[in-house]
This record gives sequence, C-alpha cells and structure tokens, in this order.
Amino acid sequence: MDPKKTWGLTMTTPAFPRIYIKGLVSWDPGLTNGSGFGFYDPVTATIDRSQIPAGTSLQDFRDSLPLLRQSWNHYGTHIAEFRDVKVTGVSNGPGNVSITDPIVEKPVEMKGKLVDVSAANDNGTQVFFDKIVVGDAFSKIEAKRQRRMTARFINFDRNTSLSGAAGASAVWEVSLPEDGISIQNFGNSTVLSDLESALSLPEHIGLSFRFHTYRTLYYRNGIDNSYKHRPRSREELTELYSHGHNFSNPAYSIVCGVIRPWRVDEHQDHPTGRVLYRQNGGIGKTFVSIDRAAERAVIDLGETIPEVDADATKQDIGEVRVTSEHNGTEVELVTLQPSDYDRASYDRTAGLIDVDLSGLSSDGWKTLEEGTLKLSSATASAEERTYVVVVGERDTYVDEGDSVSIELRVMDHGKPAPNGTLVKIVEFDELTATEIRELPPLTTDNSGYATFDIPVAGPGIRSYVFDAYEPTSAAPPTRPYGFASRADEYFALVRTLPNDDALEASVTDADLTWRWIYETIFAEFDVLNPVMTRRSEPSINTPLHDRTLMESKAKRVKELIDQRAFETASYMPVTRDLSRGRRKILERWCDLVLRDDAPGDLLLAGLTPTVMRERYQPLETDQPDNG
Amino acid sequence: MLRRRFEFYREGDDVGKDAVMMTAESAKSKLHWAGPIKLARQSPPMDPIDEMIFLLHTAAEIEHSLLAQYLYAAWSLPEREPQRRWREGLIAIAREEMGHLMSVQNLLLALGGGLNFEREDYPFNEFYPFPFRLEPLSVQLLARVVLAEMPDPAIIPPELGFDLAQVRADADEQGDVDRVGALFELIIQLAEEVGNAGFNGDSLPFQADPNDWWACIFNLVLTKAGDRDEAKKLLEKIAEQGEGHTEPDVGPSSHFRRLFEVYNEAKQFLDDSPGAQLALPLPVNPTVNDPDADGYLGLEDAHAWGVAFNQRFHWVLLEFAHLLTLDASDSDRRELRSWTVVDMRALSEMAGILIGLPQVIPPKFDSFGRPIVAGPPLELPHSLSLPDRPIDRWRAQARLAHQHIAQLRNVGDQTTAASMIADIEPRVEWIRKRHGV
Repeated sequence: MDPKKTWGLTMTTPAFPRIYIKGLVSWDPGLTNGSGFGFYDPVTATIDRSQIPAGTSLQDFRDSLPLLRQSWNHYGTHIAEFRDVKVTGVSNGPGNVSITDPIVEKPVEMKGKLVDVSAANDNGTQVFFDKIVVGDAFSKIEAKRQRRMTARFINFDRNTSLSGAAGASAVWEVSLPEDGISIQNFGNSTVLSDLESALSLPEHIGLSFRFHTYRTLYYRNGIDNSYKHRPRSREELTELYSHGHNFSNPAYSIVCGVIRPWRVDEHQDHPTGRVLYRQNGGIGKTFVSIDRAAERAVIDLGETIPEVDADATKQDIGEVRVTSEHNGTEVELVTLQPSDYDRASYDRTAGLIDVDLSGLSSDGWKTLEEGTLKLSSATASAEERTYVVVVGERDTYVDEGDSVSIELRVMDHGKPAPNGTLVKIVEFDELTATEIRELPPLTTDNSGYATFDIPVAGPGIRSYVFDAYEPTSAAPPTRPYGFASRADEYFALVRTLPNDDALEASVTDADLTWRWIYETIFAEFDVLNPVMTRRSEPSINTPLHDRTLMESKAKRVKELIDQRAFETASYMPVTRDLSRGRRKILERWCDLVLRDDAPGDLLLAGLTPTVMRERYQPLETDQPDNG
Repeated sequence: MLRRRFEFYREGDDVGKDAVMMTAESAKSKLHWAGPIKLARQSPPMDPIDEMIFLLHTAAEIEHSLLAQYLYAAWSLPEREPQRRWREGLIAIAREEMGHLMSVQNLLLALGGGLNFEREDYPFNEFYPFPFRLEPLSVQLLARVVLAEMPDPAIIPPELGFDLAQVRADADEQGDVDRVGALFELIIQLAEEVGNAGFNGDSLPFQADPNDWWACIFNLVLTKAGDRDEAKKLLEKIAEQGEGHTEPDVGPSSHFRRLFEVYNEAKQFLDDSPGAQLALPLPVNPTVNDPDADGYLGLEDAHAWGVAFNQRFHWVLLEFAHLLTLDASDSDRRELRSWTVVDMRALSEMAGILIGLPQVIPPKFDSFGRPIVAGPPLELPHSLSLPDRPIDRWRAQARLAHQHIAQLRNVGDQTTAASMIADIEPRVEWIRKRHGV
C-alpha cells in the first residue's frame, strides 16, 4: 500500500500498543564549525584562514584552538546516545499502563551523530542514526532507520529555573518503516505479541517514536559518565585544555517518549495532530489528535507544561481545560487537574492523555472537528492555528548547481487542506539572518500536498518559511527573521555546498600528494575538530594528520565518504560539509593509495609531481597481474 | 600432550647443586616459593636456537590465550558507564597482546622457526596461572589476570596499594608465581647465547611491519628484529608492557597496572551499587561443537552465528600466518592485510549480535537469576597449519570464503549478513583472477 495515497483520509490518534520510555540522552557535539566561533566559513565549508595569524602553522593553530574558542566541548565526538533509557510501562488500551510486562525495565538503545545543518543556530538539529533497539536478547524490537531524526518546535521556556539551552526542550518524531523492523520475543512479552499483530494490519506501516528532550545539564563528567576529566565550570575546562587534555564533555538531557504503531494516515517524521500555540504563560506546544470512529482524543502534553527545577518538577498551572469553539459554541474535551500532568503522570505516559469522547453529540463532533481548539488555565492559554505545514524532510544538503525538491503537506484542523490552498514561501539567509525574497506561492493538491522545488542557489545556508492561507484571502504578512520565532514556524533548511568541481577537474593525479590532500581536505576537519586524535573517553585514535594511518585506511576512508552512506551514523565527515568536488578528489587519492600509485611529496623542493613526471620517466611499480 | 616439560628453581640457587627443581604445577602450590623464580634449561639439552623457538612457541600460545580471554571479557560488558570504559581498556590491551603475538612471529621468522598462531586450551599451558577459560568479566577474573600480568611483588610500588593476599583471595587461585616473566627472561638469555649468527637478517622483509599495523597509534610493541640486540630489545619491551617490571617511558602504563586499576574500580563499583552486575550474563566457554557442554549455543540462530564467528576467527588467524610468508613488496600481502582489518571488524560485529541472542530457549539463568545470552565462542579448528604449497594456501583461502558465505546465508539477520557477504565475495573473485583458483 502506498502510504501517500491514504495519508490523512481519516483523523487518527496514537495507536496501541504503546511502549513508554524514559532516561537520559547524551549530547557530545563538536562545536568548532559554528559560525559564532569565527574560525569556520560555512560558505566555502573550509577553515577561515584569515583567522590564522601570519606565520602560524596549521598544527599550531589547531593546538591553540581549544583556548581560543572557549567552547564547552571542543573535542566533542558528535555522538548523541541514549543513556540508561528504559521501558517504563506499556499500554494496550486507553487508561491502562502495565509495568509487569517482561519488556518493562529493559533498555532502549539509540546511538547516532548530532549534526546541526545550520552552523549559525540550533534550528536545524539532526541525529543521524542507524537503528533503535528496545529490549534485550529475550524480548526485543530492532527498528532500522529510514530517515534521520530532527528536533522540532524548540521551546526555550521549558524550564523556569534554567536558562538558554539548559532550559530548552524539543520534540522528535521518527517513523520506522515495517520492512526494517524485527521483533524477537523469546521472553513472552504480551506487548510485543500485540505489536506483532498490530503490524500485520494494513493500517499500520511501521513504528512511530515520539520523544521529548528537556532539562539539559552541562559539565556532567563523573556524574552521568565515568570520564576521568571532570570540569565543573568553563574555567576548569579551560585549565584542563591548557594542559593538553583531550576529552569529551557531553551534556545530558532527560528523554521521555512513546513508541507505537505508525498508522498509514499519520505523517512521516513529524508529529501528527492539531497544534496549539501559546497565547499566554510559559507553556509549550500541545498536540491534539481526534479519532471520531473510535470516539477518542489524545491530548499530547509532552511539550506543554514547563518544569520548575533541575529535578524536572512540573509547574502547577492549575486546572486545565481543553475545548473547541466554533461559531460561538464551545465543547469541552477534558478538564485536567495538576495531578493529571505532574511529573509522575508525565513520566507514566510521556505526556499523552487519552480522552473518551463517546458521549459527544453529533453537534459536539462538528464543533470539535471544525472549531478552534483551545487550552486554558488560570495562568496560561494556547490556541490552535488553522494550518499546519508538515515538512517531513526539513533539512537538506545539496551541491551548488543541483536541484532538489521536498514535499510539503498542509493540514487544516487535522485534515488535508482543501485543493488549491496556497503556501507562502519566504527565503532567508541563515548566515546573515536576513530576508532574501518572497517566492511564488505553492498550491496544494487534493490531499494537501505541494512539491517545493528548492531554488538553485550559491553556497551557504538558506531557510524557507512556509505559511498556508486560503486562496480567497490575502497572504499573511512576512515576519522578520527571528531565531526564537522559528519555534512557531514551519520551515525547511537547505545547506548548499560549494561547487568544487572545477578544483577537482584542475588537479591531476600527480598533484594529489599527501601534503596537498591534507592541506586541501583533511586539514579542514583535523584543525577545527581534532576529535579524531582522541586516545580515550572515548578512544578514536585516528588522527587525520597521520599520513601512515590515513594511507593505511584509504579503503575505509573511501567507504565512509561514499555519498550512499550519507544517512548512516558512520558517514564522514560527520559535519556533512564535504562537497561533491572534494569528495571526488578524496576518492581519487584513496584509489591512488590503494593502487600504490600516490605521488610523493616534493613540493618543498619546488618540484611538483607534474614537473617531476615531465622530467623523468615514472618508475614501474605495479605488480604484474596474473589475471 | 606436552612433549617437553618445564622446571623451575629459586633465584640464587645453583642448578645441579642446591636448587630444588619443581614443575609449574607443584611450584604453584608452594606458597613459600613466592618471589623471583627461574625457568630451568631443557633437559636433555636442546640447541639454543631450537630451545628459543620452543619457548617462543609457548609465548605465542600464552599471548593468544590472553588476547582471547580479554576480548571475551570486553565483549561481555554492557553499553553503560563505567563498563564501557573498561571495555575500551580491555580491547586496547587485547590489541597490544596481538602486537606481542606478531612480535613473537617476527622473532620466529628471524630464527628460521615455524610460525605459531595456535592456542593451547587444555591441558593448559604450564606457564599460565589458571586454566584457559572464556568467561564474562568479574572481580575474580580481573584478580586472575592481574596475577597473570603481575611482576615480582617486591618491585610493585607501595603507593599502588597492591595487596597480594587480597588479590589472591579474590582470584581464588594460588597463582602468585611469576612464571610468564621467567619465560621471557630465559628467552632473552637464550637470545644472548644464540648471538647475531642465529638471527637471519634476510627474514626482515617477511616480518610484520609496525607501520602496517599502526603500532605507534595503537601503542603496539611491534618491531622487526634482524639481530640479537633488536631481538633482546623487543623481548624486553614486551615484558615491560605486560608486567611493568619498569613502567613504559611513554604511552599507557603496563597491562598489570591498567588491569589492577579496573580491578579496583570494579570492586568499588560493586560496593557502591549493591545488587549491580559487572557484566552481561554470557556463558562460560561458549561452544558450537559440544551439545552436552554448559556453554553450548543451543538457539538455532545463536548457533549459526557462533559457527560463522569461529570460521571468521580461524580465517583471520590464517590470514596473519599467510601474509607473513610473503615478502613485503608482494601486493598479495597488502591484500591479505586489508582482509584482516575487515575481518577483525566483522568479528566485533558478530560478537555484538551474539550477545543479543539467547544462548538457549527455554533460557538458562545465571546465579543472579538473569537469562543467559550467547557469547562469541572463539573456538579453534582442528588445525591452523598453512598448506605447504603457496597455491594451496590460496585454495584454502577460497574454501574459507565460500564456506563462510554459506554460513552467513544461514543466520537470521540477513541484512547484516548481506553486508558481510559483500565484503567477502570480491575476495573470491580476486583469488580467482590473481591466482586462478
């Protein structure tokens, strides 16, 4: 069954059985390529060499960077990994959470690489991963990735006592197709049996995993891990860096979420449901899903209620009403007491609240389906906006000159927007935080879909902000570029890598000496993110400036930079900023090394390999091929 | 069966007069023998070169045994702190033992002796302080390997806090006799006796090249040895890295110190976290060959992966042996080296798959009530001998490839298997084109 053909034909709620999980996630980003640190040029995807003092070698510059940059994690590995995440409960129907199933208390594993598509800010956070594993050898789900995860709806007000990134939260939704899922159930888990049965139904096409990350703590070595270097402040970290210590200093967030069948009418990699935006108070987004056939609704408070301290105690915002209003008529979905959304309740179901609507009249259903959803308490309120623009593949990398399209879907009160709904598009330059232009609007089809052909542009990072409107209405006003306002917007980020094809065409094989390849390609990563030199915590031990090692690993280098490996956790460079031209050059160098035909380094003597080849007959070094 | 016996005597005693000669087994039970001991020369006497080759074969088997046990213990550790860090440390030590094993092969090449990648499982090597046993990491295991790598207790600095009686009690062994050190001492003495004339410089192109194995990066004690002095220096470095008679000048500390550190941390971890377990519940001595053994991998898929694991392990050892028969300028040698890198990665991946499968269904449980999962068996084939004729070596490689592909087609996770098969199929084609077999 083609999912696209059936998506959105009915409204739905998160299905059963559900598996609830909670624990920590470690974030270990390498931060050197952030433009705020001034040593990286995101347009050319190279070191900003104007920042290197005259007479300073690349090696000395590399060694001085930890102190120059004053980053909290100069040697980050980019690893994003669940830590002590466990199944906390399972549910096979509304209102019922069991903690006796054999899968409960079993680990949930995810290990990937955290990469910001935008070097300028945090709006494009992604995790490239290969699989998610729930359980152990006896009761286990293993689900392979189709697409990377993206953080959405970042809320910097999630924690009232923590500021900045520490107090921020994000919602992640990743869809895992059925053909990559295996379930092993030697432990006789009921929920896994139910899940296997559910996945055999035509309306289910895999698993959906929605989780929330929040309450981020920094400088946790020795607390959330056993690393030996344990700075507790920027000053202590700088002191350790100044003594040449090379280690990770990851941050840790709480992760809480739910895994459930992915219904054919749900979006891929984007939360399904109607979205309520904050009107007053410090609350975050609320997602509401309604299923008329089942006479149920699910209020997802996963992002809604702030915490007030580092222990993630929920704020008491009093009694909370969720209603729908249409033409002056109001229908109430539910009234919640603080005990319904306190930390214990949140942890129990990852913020999902199932609501029985079996008593609702047909007029009530009409109000619910056509009206505007609202959430209100004495101190906070939120209200639904008419349209949701689903950008499943939010982050895109493209080589300069290449064209690429992404698919949008416009939802109107939880249903596909009517044919002909318009989508306004404004293009911004992420690096200068300025508006570039407004593009011609898109028009949706019968199912709310529209295809956006990303304009071919020069190298850099651009964003496209989408806003849907009725064809009979005026287009909504353009909002100025704003990092914070992105949390309320639907957008796509596009990183265009420079066209280095000419460079690739201009170098001959004879020019590809180690020195050239290091200074032109490896150095960009070796200098700015010298994590490959790491000998412990965790050990990597593959310095990019080690010629012998790099030559010995030429085959592996070629595998890791292969474009086909782009979505994998092991792809190199982890920052995904190797242009097509540079990749080709590196592949050529690998081939030369593997053929034992890489040119020597004679540049210091002023004798380039090309000159040498002109002057002298090359030596025959190849072994005879018996084949 | 051992064709030669080893005898020990106390340092300072005069062999042939007052020395009390004891076998390793009896020395082990004599606690009053704690302290420096010497390994006696062979009786009846052997030519010094032959005696040195004999002792190097013994050393190779010890290194192989140690690296297998370290790997198994490392793979038994869960993906969480602090076990993740211990695993990293144990794998680094196993890699260094691999460096020792390659260095011993270099010395054997220099002496004109046969290569030896074998391992003696049972009866266990007389030099080894406890029987070869693949088991998940425990305080007892750590205490045992600390004893195995321990230098003369008299030279251990007091600030290290080393309590021999406590370690011995934790090990549940009486293994306080420094027999491995005595072995290397005698080999060094023999190198002196053999002299430059006994070492063949023409073996250098065949010896393992430290650059090929990234010796500097991975802290491997691996050099070529073309004469007596180079051989002695290499042997002293091996002893230093293992037991730390003197701590290495640069790089990580000796195996003894690193293992003692993990031992202390593991004990502290258990004190701090009552009820916690150090390792996953892996079987002791997993096997795919003996259905009556406790460690038998009875689950069909675990058995299939175990069979494939053993074959890949066999294969990588054969590749090491094979490439050392080829001259450094031979591109076939480079090809074999690239295979070993892929194979070692595949072994690690297979180990990860095995510990994600039950050993048997219905499950067996460990003493903590946890169901036991499968473990990588690391079993050896009937023989690791290389065929005598070069062409037959490539035929053997091709057979191993075909057989391994068939084994991988028999496992449950065909996605992973397909990726592994994709690594191997080009080898079959390469052998066919290059060697016509």
